[in-house]
Amino acid sequence: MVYYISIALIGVGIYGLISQKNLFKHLVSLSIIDTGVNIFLISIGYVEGKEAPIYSMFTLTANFVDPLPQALVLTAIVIGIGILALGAVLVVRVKEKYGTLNVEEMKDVRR
Amino acid sequence: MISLLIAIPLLGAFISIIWKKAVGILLIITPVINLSILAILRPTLVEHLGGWKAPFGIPLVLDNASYITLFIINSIFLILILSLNRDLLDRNYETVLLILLTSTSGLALTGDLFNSFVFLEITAVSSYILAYHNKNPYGAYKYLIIGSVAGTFYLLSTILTYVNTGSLNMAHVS
Repeated sequence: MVYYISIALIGVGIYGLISQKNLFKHLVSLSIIDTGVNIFLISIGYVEGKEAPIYSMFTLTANFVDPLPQALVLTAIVIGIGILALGAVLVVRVKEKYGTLNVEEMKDVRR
Repeated sequence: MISLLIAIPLLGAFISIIWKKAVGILLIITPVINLSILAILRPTLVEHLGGWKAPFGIPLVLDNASYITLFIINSIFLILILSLNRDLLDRNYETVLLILLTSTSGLALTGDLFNSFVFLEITAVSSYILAYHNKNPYGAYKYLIIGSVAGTFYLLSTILTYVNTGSLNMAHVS
């Protein structure tokens, strides 16, 4: 069931990236695609009825979910935040130079 | 010894922030040190980072292909620095150039699929900054959108490989 949510989020993000004309909405669509992929990664490692992968004196038998996709998602979230911040800087520069964020209203831009 | 090939340009990038006057020498000296390390080493070496063996840790592999790739990367970087237009250095791009050398060396050396994704993203981010020019920020923005969507799908294919084979190591997957 979770797979359908992540596939729908990736589809919504790609549709927004293609159809929208505002540059800030491109950043929002990019963030939505990132979130969809991260939900897919988490749902890969999830096993029904297992516990969080923390070793302690109360967990004598290893009854864990797969911890590797969670480590991957932690790294992917950090990289996504960095790219989002760089994109926000570039959006500010575009607004300073052209005075608008709509693609069709920009003048003298090399497309 | 292999990890010095990644660590030395990263150290140079940190030094170039602190010590602004040594930047011209630093950009020449870093690929020269890398080339001399490559002259000492002989191919087919494997180094396990942190002492963890292959299914759990991340290995760095120096085989024949990555040896030649690293030689070409460092030679081109040295030629580019020696023949560089001086106004590129005036825009404070030295740190980004050194990080680009770090991440391309890591991309040639790594033996782990997810680690190659991380180095790919670092390469992509530093090339977005290099592509940014004051006259055309919209071009760099388009490059960022397309490149990061492609990186996201690289991550998706990495996790599908992990599901089907149960490992992220390149030797185990193949």
